[in-house]
Amino acid sequence: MRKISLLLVFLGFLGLQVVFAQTRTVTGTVSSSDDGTSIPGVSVVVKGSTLGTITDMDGKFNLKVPQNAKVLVISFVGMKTTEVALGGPSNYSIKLETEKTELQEVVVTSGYGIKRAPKGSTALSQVVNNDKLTAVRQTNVNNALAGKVSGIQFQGQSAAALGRTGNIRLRGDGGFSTGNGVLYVVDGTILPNSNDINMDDVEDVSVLSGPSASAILGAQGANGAIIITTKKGKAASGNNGKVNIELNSGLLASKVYIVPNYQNDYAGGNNSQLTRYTYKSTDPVEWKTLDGKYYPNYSDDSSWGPRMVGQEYIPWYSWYAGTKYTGTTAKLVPQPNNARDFFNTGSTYNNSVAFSKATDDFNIRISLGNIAVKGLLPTTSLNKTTFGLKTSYKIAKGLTLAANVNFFTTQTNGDFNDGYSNQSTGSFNQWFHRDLDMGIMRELQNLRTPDGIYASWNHNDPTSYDPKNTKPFYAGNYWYNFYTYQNLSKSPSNTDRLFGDVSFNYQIIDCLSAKITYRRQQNVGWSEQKFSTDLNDSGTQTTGNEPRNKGYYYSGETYSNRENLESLLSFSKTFGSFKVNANAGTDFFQSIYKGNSEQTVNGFNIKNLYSVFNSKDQPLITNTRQAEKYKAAFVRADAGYKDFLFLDVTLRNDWFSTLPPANNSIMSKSFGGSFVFSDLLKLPWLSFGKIRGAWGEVPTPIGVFTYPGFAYGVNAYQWNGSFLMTTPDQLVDPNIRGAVKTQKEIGAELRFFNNKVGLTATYWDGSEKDIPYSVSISNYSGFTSKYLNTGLINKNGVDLALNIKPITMKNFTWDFNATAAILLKNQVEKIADGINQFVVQTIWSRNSVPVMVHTVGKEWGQLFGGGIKKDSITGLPLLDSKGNYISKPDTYFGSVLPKLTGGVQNTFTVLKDFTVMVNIDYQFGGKFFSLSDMWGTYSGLTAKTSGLNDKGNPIRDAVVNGGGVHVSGLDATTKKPVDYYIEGATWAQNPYNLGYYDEFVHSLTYIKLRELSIGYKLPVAKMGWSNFVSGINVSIFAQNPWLIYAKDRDFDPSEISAASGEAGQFPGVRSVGANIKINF
Amino acid sequence: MKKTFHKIGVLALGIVLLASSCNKLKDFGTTNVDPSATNKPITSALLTNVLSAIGAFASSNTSSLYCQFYSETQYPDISCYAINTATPMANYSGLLYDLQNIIINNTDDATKATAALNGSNNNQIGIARILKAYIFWVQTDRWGDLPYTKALAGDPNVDFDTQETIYKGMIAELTDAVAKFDNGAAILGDIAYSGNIAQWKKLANSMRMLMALRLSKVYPTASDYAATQFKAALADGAGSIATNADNFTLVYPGGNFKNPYYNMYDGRKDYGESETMTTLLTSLGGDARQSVFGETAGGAASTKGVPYGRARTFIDPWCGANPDYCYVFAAAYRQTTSPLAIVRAASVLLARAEAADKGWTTESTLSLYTSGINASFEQWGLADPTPTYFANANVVLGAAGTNLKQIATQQYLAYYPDGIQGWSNWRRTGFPTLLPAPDGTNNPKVIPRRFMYGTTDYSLNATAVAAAVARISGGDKMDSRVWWDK
Repeated sequence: MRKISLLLVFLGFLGLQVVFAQTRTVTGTVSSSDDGTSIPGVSVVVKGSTLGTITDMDGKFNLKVPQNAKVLVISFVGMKTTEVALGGPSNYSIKLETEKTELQEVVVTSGYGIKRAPKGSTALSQVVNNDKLTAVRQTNVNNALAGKVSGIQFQGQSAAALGRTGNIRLRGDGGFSTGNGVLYVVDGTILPNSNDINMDDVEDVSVLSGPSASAILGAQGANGAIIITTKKGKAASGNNGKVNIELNSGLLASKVYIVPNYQNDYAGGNNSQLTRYTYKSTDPVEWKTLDGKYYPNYSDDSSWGPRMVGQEYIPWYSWYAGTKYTGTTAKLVPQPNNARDFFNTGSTYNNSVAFSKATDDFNIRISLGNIAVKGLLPTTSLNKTTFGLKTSYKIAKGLTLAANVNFFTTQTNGDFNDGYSNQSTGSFNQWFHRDLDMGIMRELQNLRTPDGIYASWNHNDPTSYDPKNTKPFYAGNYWYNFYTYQNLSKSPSNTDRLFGDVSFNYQIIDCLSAKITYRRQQNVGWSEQKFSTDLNDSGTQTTGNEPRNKGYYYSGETYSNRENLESLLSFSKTFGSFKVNANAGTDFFQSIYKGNSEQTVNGFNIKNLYSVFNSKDQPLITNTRQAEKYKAAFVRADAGYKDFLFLDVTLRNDWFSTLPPANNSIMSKSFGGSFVFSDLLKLPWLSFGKIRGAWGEVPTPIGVFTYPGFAYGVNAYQWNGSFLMTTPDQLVDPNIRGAVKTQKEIGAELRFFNNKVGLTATYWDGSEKDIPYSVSISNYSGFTSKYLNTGLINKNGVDLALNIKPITMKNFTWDFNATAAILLKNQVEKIADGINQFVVQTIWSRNSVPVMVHTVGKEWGQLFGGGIKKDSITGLPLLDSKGNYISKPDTYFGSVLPKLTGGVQNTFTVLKDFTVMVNIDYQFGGKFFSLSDMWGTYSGLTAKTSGLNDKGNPIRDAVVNGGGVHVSGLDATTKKPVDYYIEGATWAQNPYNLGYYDEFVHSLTYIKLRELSIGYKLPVAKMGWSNFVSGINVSIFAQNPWLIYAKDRDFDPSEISAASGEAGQFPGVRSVGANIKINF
Repeated sequence: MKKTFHKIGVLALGIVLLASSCNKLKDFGTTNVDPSATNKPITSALLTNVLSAIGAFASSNTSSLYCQFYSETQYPDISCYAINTATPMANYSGLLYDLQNIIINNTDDATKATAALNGSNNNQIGIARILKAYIFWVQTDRWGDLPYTKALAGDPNVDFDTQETIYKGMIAELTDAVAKFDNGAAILGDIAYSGNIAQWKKLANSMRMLMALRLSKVYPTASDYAATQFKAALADGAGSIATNADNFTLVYPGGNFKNPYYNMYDGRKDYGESETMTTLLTSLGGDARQSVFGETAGGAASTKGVPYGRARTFIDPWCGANPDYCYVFAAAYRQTTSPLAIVRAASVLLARAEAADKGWTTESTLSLYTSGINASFEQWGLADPTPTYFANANVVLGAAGTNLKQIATQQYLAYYPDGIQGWSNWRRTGFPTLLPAPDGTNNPKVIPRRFMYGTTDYSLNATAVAAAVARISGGDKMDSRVWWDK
């Protein structure tokens, strides 16, 4: 209780301060046992109290203690905590040992909460602790893991898309879709994604890289798993039964960082000349002042307009009445930052408080958190409130009751559409006017004509003005004022997630315990979309690509619930030189999903009445019901001989409701061995040496309602009372089974020179066979796909981790950690008989634009489509008789998978209290297709559509005047070298018109400074605050501060929105923040 | 110790109980049954589904741009002949298989009794065969060789049949379908002819004539296959479509099923009636059908067509400066509930006129020509054209056997805006004379004469596509020709 009152005092509330009687003084010196140097700043506390001090610059302390004090606790970061019994003497010389066991103290957690010291692990075991994860406070576990674990590829997402957490690949990818994804498990509960993990609650993260480590999780863990263990109330030494309070408060400011490289020479429109405006009597009177002035083409949304040289012109907004700009001209000057300027500075407030307490019988930790984000896209926001409770209580001898409850509620506002023709980047990077002043755009977001039409930069040209019908002129042709659009379209949503468990653990005899757990993960969500009919009234062609602009209301609700009933027997006993740990258990699982949605079709009857019944056509209703179950039984065991030789084995059998009933049982298995040879060799320079090997095989099930398949639904609409039905397009093999994923690995873990250098190397080799996949088949069969067991993917690679402490001085330490994952092979070996290739992702479906395919004999995930046809001998491009490249529609551009991924983390500790972290991650290899680059080039936005040719003339000048783009190659017929100059716009539009896209396929290679932080641990004891607080940490930090290297910098290659590329990508975002953490 | 043994005993009992329920482990009851679907198809619902979507074939923008019914107003790529790879595959797994499924369910002894609840088995099969022939027809006229005889059988690696095989197959199917109709129970779900079998027979005979005539370049003479089939269809007792009342027409209910031309201007204005068409109509001394074929965005009469095949830099400002250009169709003909005529009396009558002119048949060219033109006008609710119209130099017929230009031009007009028929008829006859897009981006700059196979064809069916491509002289290009387009 006293801690709480101290907290209240600290927070400025009334409180009591208790004063103890002190009766004697102890003094002493604390020094290092390594080199004998004295250590300042060491905490000296009387055990069982809050009385304490810290050592001075000479390592000395002087402390008044109560007469009955028995033990002093001496602690310091990086040193072993030591207890000193208070006896006769009053002066103590205390030696602290360096914490050598630091690396071994981490514990690997696998399924069902089973923990194991990594010393005996047989597969690669990687654990990341809270301090490494949250050096820069992240709100998303994927971001926090990037680069810190070997074998991971993190595909991030722009921070402008609130709530998107990206995707993790472990050891390449598999399956016949766009990727498998990994499993997220929090305290034994499986989450459907990485959302809703409170990073402030995370104690550590264990990464299980594949079947050899994750077999106990069965099919669910087949692609590897991220196992998260949250903090629990811990009895700190000398602090039993005290309440610990941790306050954590941070602020983050985010700004747009990476945008494409635009041209800043030419204005918008399709006319390279300005047009003279002549006032007519039927024109609005306020246009009179514009008579004789010049205007650019507004209606076309490309930038093939006039050169911007500061000439006088009529900007788009001058034609609208009622502003200070009405009827005025401006200077036509470049606006190089207009796309960037559209976005707000985003902000994130991240606050949490946790209370914990532990005694021998009882522990509890309660946390409350809130994350409030104002998005970079105007009007967008996210607010997440979290509650966590973790407790266990020994209710009787041997019987422990424990509960875990996590509740998350998230409200999001915003559509976050980064697809083609979205009303932000979909314009800026693909269809836009480079001369637009975004400040004026923002200023005029509420500007309307007397008829109620919202002003648009993309209105029509004044020749189309009709006083009887002003809409064709004033309304946006394809686009709205970007701010207006955000104001008129709203997409609020809410997700409530409840998860956790209740368990009984009974210690039957010393070596045997039984545990029963009930577990639940429940989501309730709703989302709405409201599009104003003002959008319909303010646009002429804007409803074509986005029918919601007619006026739209959508309301959807989902409910999902996953429940597990688990039993676990745990056995642990030492037999002579053997130590055996074994578990047996069952896991019965059921899930249900219910989803309903209602949406208006084809606009509203009554303007801006957001009701489903206000739908112009019959509203569309969807109704989804799904249920799934499995039952599993498993055993696992590991045995160690004299703590240097280890073996382990796991067997798990699952019965799945989704598999054919006659054949619904599948078995997962793994085994491995390891040998810690350093214990036998006893070499002075070798602190630790181990070799290990493991093998695992995990079959997987198939999706709900897939078997037996071929079920006919009833169409949503009727034709004058006749109902409609469509024949299913997928054939299902009656003997359908799950895929079998196998992985084997061998590895070595070595640490040298008193653990100053550590190296972990793993070679792994995996296969995925009999993949049940809905293989696209030629529709000539009458069907689009056949769901069958087929397919083989083989992959192998090397995971490396290096840890070095290059400098460990008294006042300066440098900890260097590097990871690298080399994907040697990730090849599709077989798809199905007679099927060599199929398409899995399409970004644009016409004109041979590259798609993502899987192809036999090639790396997983090829980009395939139209490329420039090359001469087979010289490799030079072939040109037709007009100098155009020729399309080769079956060009392979390479795999979407990077070949090398990893990161480097540097931790510098200066003067013991300052910590600087520099976290870099990188990726080499892999391709993506950029639709933005293609359309941006087509419409004259990208930098390459401006500039000079090799004659020194602008490429946009006519070829007859020495302009144009120089193209050379071989004539397709004669195979003789030829040279041409092509008109700039033709050159930019030829790729789409003629079908070659080589220049729009980009590399995923990058090196990026992802996290940078400077932390300072306030010397609270020295400041005399130790009665109030036990620690204060302040930090300033940056996320994504620097994209160090990328082959081209139009997009951040670490954040490509789709597996095969992007269609309207949001910009890269850079953030800086500050954080304070106070422990009471 | 005793207590410990007791505990272990309880535990062992638990495990035994669990193990004995192993059979129950396998059993999940109906967990995996989708509550919102059935595994028994309703054939009438499949038929309605096909008919509800079949209008898409008669309103194909790409073909209408190739034959210059329309022009593109803002993003000219198809009308400037940008490379156009596409695949007909979706129609196989979609509508064609729905039809095949109707045939299977009405044939298979296990299902035919259930299927007969929706009408006579034979008649359901007959209708499905006719609709299949229609879809295959409009597909092969675009691509040429396609999977036909072995398609829709579940085998993904289907060889492509030659267009000759496809045409002869379709004509045989139609012939047999007509012969096998019976007087059984009325068909349900027939939203085109409301189960009127006599009209389905007329449709089949009409399609057979139109298909036969399309082969006039490969089988020109009166004794060849084409003329023989034409005459046989004409002679069939069930007759052919001779009045608009028998047209194969869909009357859209609106709402969630709208006339496809309504969608053309629903939020976009990518197309206009082409200047080619307005010029042609003017050259006939004026043609009242212009009041149907196009009017301005504001609904005013206009004869200003949109220049065809011009680059964006020209056409976009042109459209801005000429707000009185014609949209495709007068607004009254592209309402959500407007009817869409797919096979029309005018086309059939004009086909018979051409066959007569060719000497394939002994019917009266002039009389069929006149009634064909009248039928076209009537179809749009217009009065029959005046004698002045028929006397125009570009309309009036000459000596027998010399009238292809006039008849083909009227066929072209009668097909408007059904581009696939207009384009095919132009490819077959060369009339009206069409000039390639001035700003065409292809090389050589010629009007495309077929669709190229799609990326998915190359991807999923590589061997079969390669064999088909090897048969095309000129390769898989837009300016290569299909078999009947010699």
